[in-house]
Amino acid sequence: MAGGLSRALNAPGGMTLAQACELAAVNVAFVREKAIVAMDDALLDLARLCAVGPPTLEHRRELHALSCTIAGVGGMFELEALSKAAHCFCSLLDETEPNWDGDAVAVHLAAMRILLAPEQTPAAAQESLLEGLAKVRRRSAPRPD
Amino acid sequence: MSSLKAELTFNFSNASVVMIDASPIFIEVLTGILSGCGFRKMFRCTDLRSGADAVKTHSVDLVLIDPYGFGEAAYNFVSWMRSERRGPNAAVPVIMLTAYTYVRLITTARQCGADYVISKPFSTQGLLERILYVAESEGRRGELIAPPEVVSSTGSGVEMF
Repeated sequence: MAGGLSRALNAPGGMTLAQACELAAVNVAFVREKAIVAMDDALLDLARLCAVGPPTLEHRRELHALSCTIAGVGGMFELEALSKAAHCFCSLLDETEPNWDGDAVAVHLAAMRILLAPEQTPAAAQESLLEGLAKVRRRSAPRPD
Repeated sequence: MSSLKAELTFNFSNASVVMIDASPIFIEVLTGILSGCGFRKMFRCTDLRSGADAVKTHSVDLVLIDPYGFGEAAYNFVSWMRSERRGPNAAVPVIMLTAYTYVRLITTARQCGADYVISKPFSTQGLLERILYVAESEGRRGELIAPPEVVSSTGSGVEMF
């Protein structure tokens, strides 16, 4: 039996992929401001948790969840560099666990703060920032030979 | 796939979708995307309990879930859906959306019965193309599962099959 999705294909009153993308973009734009506030709040929470020092297991999970939110939402609003920095922070948390590199964490938080307002940072500088974060992460969590 | 999909029309106004994501802001973003694509019946769930309630009490056509915030329980949720063989929603397409994709997630997603894993962030076109692919493939779930060695991790998302 055909499901609801397959019945939707070529059904009367439909739209094309291009039309859907256009309408979705308009809808997503309405959420932009709220999303920026949510990511700003997430960054503040990250900073608050990191200020305490080496996290408990529960705090580490919270840090991971907050940075995942930023990684997932940022790229939906053309904040790809922020998204990548947040993803890098998630990797840093994983790769250094159970240890804690406060300096590397601070660098990531500062970078994310800068990349939340990317219009103030040229594209090349953003790229350099991301490369720098990757280096910091690799240095903090060297892979065993 | 894009050129073929460009000609296709679709009307999702009668299809229902369950969104499960611990992030309220992402649920809002997803709602904007899906309503732009014509979905009108949307269950917005920030926890698994409300997601399970929606699946238990409604006939749904698509489930989008970010397992991240729920740990193992998210995979158990999909397994439970699939195990309800006599239920109306046992074969519903499940697409996992995740900002942090790692190999174990893909393996676990495959094992629990999810159809796709898509990396966040994604484009509307990327998500919609996969929904359309799932729509065209309904009823052929078992035939479409690719062996692990062909799972792609390139593109806008990670395709399971």
